[in-house]
Amino acid sequence: MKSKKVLLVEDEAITILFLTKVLERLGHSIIAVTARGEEALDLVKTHEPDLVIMDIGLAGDVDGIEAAHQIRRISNVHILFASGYNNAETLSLTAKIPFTLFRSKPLGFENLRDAFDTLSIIE
Amino acid sequence: MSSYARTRTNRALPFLLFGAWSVFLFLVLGFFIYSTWKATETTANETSANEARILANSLDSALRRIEAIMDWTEVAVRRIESGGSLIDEAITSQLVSLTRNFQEITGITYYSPDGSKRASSSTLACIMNEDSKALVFTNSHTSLEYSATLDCDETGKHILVAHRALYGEGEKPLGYIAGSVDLSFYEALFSRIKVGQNGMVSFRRADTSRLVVRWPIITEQINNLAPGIPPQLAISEGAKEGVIQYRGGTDGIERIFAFQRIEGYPFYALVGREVGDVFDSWLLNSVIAVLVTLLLLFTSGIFLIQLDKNLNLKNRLIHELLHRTNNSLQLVLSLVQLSLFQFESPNQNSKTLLEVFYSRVRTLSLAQKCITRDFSSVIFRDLIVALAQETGQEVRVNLEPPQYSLLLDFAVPLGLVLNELFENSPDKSQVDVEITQITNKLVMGYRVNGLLKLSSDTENLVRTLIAHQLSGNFAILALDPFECTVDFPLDLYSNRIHV
Repeated sequence: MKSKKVLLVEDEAITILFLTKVLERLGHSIIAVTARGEEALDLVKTHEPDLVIMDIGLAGDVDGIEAAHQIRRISNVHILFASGYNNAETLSLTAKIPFTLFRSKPLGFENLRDAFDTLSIIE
Repeated sequence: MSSYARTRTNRALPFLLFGAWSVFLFLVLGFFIYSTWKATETTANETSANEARILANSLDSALRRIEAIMDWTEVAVRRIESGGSLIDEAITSQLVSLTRNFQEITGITYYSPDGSKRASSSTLACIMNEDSKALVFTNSHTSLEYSATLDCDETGKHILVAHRALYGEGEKPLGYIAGSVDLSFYEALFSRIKVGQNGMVSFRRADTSRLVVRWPIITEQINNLAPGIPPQLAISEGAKEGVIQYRGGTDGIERIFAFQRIEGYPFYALVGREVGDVFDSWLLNSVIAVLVTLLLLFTSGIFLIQLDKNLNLKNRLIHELLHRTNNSLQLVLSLVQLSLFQFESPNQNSKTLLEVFYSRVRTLSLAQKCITRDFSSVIFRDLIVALAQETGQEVRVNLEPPQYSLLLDFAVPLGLVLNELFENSPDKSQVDVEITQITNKLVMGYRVNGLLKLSSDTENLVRTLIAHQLSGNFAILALDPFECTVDFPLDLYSNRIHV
């Protein structure tokens, strides 16, 4: 699988550390990390990532779903939502945004590899 | 999608029920308003009709009495003329006695053909004023004739004079007889009928609708003709009684009138109530009913919205609690995995220990994800599939119905047992899990197409979980291919949450 540039939008330090390790092992690289939805749009513009891993509950005023909507206005980059909020309302809101995938936390090694495989098929 | 999302109830249902309740209330309100309006109208009509009937009977009774007394007087006068023994004083005495108890009859008087009074029931006969004299002494009919409403010279009261001519044998004139009806008696009678501020009661002539007597008294209207008013038209077409609504020609007030023809006499009684008066109380009751209904709907709507807000808040709090629990488990898992990344081959035993720890905590996390809406149970098929996925196994689950839920008290230890079986099965092997419920007992069969080796510690954990937490049995039926069964009683725990 081709190495992907990943933008990580996540406010949990331990999860950031863990995902960094897992993505490294899967052969992908994290090009930027932010805990704030407001910054995600600028980082997409600056780094043009292949994938955004997006938490939903974030620091700041903009949550992951709103941040994804803002990104979608300027880019068709794939967005992988990773959240413990796996209720029907959240799923429905994320499903309305094209080129996205939802995976509920905790994200394991297998879980992430499977998500990357699915996104490759979409691509 | 989580099991919670699948089992989520429709929050719109209470609002739909509220809508249906509102429609029902408005239908009941509409029925109430219509039925009370109809009842009010019927009651007013029947009341007015009864009053008109009673008044008509009263005047009918007086006129019949006068007519009968005149008939008797005619017989008496003829007897005197034919040489009988009766004298005028005897006729007077009889007239006094026949009219004594009839307040509405002012008096009855017999006159000779030259106009001199021969006999009378009363000294205040109220007849011999100029108007009545002219009427009585020019009347050549033997049938009763009636004057217009007159003012009695002696009492000042309104009177109606009924009179006729008397003839003997060979059409010999014997004189005249006249009786006067005291209309003030009827004015007093009318005044006791509650017809409201703009109601009215009257006697009118049936032929011309000339006003005979009226309450409230409006002197200038007495004797006014009103040909063509609806009751008179109805009577001229043969009606004896009826209820008609029309606007008064003089005062412009819309009234509901009940009329009653007086059979055999050219009069009718009329009782009228203003439409507004009739429906005032109905209107007030209807407005109160509408306000009460609106208030009821408003308060129940507010209550429903508040209840929905509170339920929503409670649901969000529970979700947040669940999310945070899950998040904490995820952090533990991430920490363990981070530690695992640091191990190299010389520390294989420690690494394995951490991996085992990781998978067991992950089982708890997966059970949380498969929890039902009331947080009491786990959709067990979902848990089996998730565990197989996490451990890299292919699984076929035979469990009906698909949404079969197992109390957390059973699901967590059984999930931990399954996790150990999956983890220790050969990688990417085919696993069959069959679960059946036999009365109060759950039996789980586990088969894998290969050899499954449990370490003594793992087997100890499995057996402890089954024996001590589930009070069940664990039996290994075959080693290669591995096959085992677990059974335990389902009445060990009961649901502590009742929705």
